[in-house]
Amino acid sequence: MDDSAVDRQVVGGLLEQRADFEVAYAENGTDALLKMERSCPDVVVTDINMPQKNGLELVRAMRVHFGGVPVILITAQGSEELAVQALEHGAASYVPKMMLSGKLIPTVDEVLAAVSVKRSYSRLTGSIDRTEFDFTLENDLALFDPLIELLQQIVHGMGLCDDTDQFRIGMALKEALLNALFRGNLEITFQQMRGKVGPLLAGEPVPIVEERRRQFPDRRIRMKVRINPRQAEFVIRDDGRGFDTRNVAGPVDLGALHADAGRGIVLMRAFFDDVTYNEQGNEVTLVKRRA
Amino acid sequence: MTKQPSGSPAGGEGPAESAGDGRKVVNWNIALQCVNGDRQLLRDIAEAFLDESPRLLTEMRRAIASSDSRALRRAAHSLKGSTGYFGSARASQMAARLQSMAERGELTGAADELAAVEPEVAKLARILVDYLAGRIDPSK
Repeated sequence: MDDSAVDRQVVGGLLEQRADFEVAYAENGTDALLKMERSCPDVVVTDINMPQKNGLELVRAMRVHFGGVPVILITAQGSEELAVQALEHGAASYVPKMMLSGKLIPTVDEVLAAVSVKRSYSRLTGSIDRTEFDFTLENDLALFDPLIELLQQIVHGMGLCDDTDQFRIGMALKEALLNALFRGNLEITFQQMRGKVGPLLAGEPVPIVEERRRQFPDRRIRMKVRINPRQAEFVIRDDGRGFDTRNVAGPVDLGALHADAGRGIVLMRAFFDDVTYNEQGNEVTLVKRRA
Repeated sequence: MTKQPSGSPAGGEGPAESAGDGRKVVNWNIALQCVNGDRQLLRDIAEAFLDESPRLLTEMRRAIASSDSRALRRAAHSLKGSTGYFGSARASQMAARLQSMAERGELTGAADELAAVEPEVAKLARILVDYLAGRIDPSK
């Protein structure tokens, strides 16, 4: 959705490069909401700068009327504060306009994966009073999605979040786990991993990952989960050397919206009530309180 | 990345269409990168730009004449982004300046800035017409 025909063409055209995506267009937020009444989409991609309803207003309206449909923002320089507010109020993720060609499709895939939580255990998870889990995970990406799905179901079932926050929590936990796996345990930089997560998930060998797994065979990710009716706390710790957390300890860094590498931290800060690191920088604690 | 012209994607130097005075008006490397190499999509975007840019310029003229900062900001933002897709750094930077003026609500000088951006957009439009007519090969 975009009021600019050129932007609409670029975003829609990139999405249509995927044969399994069906794309519908809207020129403004009101038009989008009317179209959604007729045919509910799996995901909405919108420019943050829009006439009639800007991205923040749309996100708020979507949360009321279409709480299960995630919104991805297209951000640009000059709209950082609006983008952060929209992330805090319900947007699922964002793609800087200058990175559309490389980041749009992977971001849509990530968001769709977070939304596709099956509701099979909803009655059961709704009956949980409190729960605790301690996981010790091998450095295997394939463990993340089932783990996140389990946690999303429990947090939602216990009434700690609505439909919108359910997939946002999933996305932020995924970012934290990816950070622990690649940046922490395997000491692989964001740049080194660029374009390799897809092949890795598809089971293809990725040489640097194989090499680092051999180099650090004993490293694990430890995750402690404490969920009660008031809040959910997730502590994710890796066995890596840690990193300097001074730059990520404050509120959301508006400049990070334009950087490829800072996205995980932006999403974690926007979606959780508290995000804290230990001194070494190899453990992050994420807290979500009941609204 | 943040040092790139606002709204334009990352990309290196490459073959570009000149304004006649040696300056680059279109950077086809950036344009092709924006569409992941999809030539049909590039044509679609060029057509959308030719349809939309006159409307944006008209809107900006009207907004400046009526001191409508909000409308100017929106139109300048759209023009900044759409010129950026073609690697038109100069036009994109000028549109960014207009957007910034509108955000500050300081429209003094906006008419002059707009007068400077109009010929840049016209040059870009001419090149895109040549491209759509098959007179320019973006891979060369």
